Amino acid sequence: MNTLNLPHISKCLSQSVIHALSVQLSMTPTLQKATEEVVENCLDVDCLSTIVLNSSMWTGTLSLAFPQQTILKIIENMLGEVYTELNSENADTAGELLNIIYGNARMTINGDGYDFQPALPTTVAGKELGLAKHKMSSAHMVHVYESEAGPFMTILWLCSKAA
Amino acid sequence: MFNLDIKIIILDDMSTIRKIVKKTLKEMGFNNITEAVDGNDAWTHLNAAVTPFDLIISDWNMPNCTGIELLKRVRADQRYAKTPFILLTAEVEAHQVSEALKEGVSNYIVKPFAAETLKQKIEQTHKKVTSAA
Repeated sequence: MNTLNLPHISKCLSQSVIHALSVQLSMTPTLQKATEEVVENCLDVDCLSTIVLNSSMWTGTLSLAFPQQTILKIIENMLGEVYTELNSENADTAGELLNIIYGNARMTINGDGYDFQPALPTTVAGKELGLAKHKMSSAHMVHVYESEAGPFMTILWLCSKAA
Repeated sequence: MFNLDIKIIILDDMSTIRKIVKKTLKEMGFNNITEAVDGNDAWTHLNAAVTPFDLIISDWNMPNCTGIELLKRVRADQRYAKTPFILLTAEVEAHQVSEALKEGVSNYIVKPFAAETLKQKIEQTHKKVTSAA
């Protein structure tokens, strides 16, 4: 696929986020804001999981970002265990959620002619991770969600390999 | 339903999914559960077992050795040629399902999944295996 259909990709992604949390966590997240502008710190981010996106024409990243309070509530919901702090072991819950979200979204995105490859997430956890503000000639999308566990967001960067 | 004393191995590179699956299995009454972080780690346990494992629940997409690679290895071993093998996957494309069926998968579960779905799939797998015997 030579052109980037961002509305299609955005819709596939948000549907996948809502589906993943609804089924796995019995939560109903709602999309609050979708913007193509890079915004500095929509939320304080304490846990960030990222997948590198790769297709024949496009490359980029998809990240799932949480404040500590939200991800700890999600972990409690998934595992039935209460944690008061993030650590490298419980933070991988974010990675698994992103794995599920991307896996589901990839199938519907690729149904539109793309060929994004499977990928494994990498997760980092720490207090108030800074998100760098990038200025690049690439499409990007930030989705901010509200849920029973609290707010979280997805951050999508894509650029053409031909650029 | 499976005998509750059976030996089960769960493999997934994400500890979250291993914990969720283990929690559900324990709720069903199973207690003899081993965890592995990928296909290579699982094969170490499977190969070394004095009494073979009775049920394998494996993620598809893992580093080092994927679920489908482990499935092929397991089916090539006489001890595990017919052992029930359930694949967990976040993606279900037709060609993947065909490949897994061709290699002898017993059942698959698509992520995200509710605990009830996992329980139903395990019961369904047991019915399939006992009716084939």
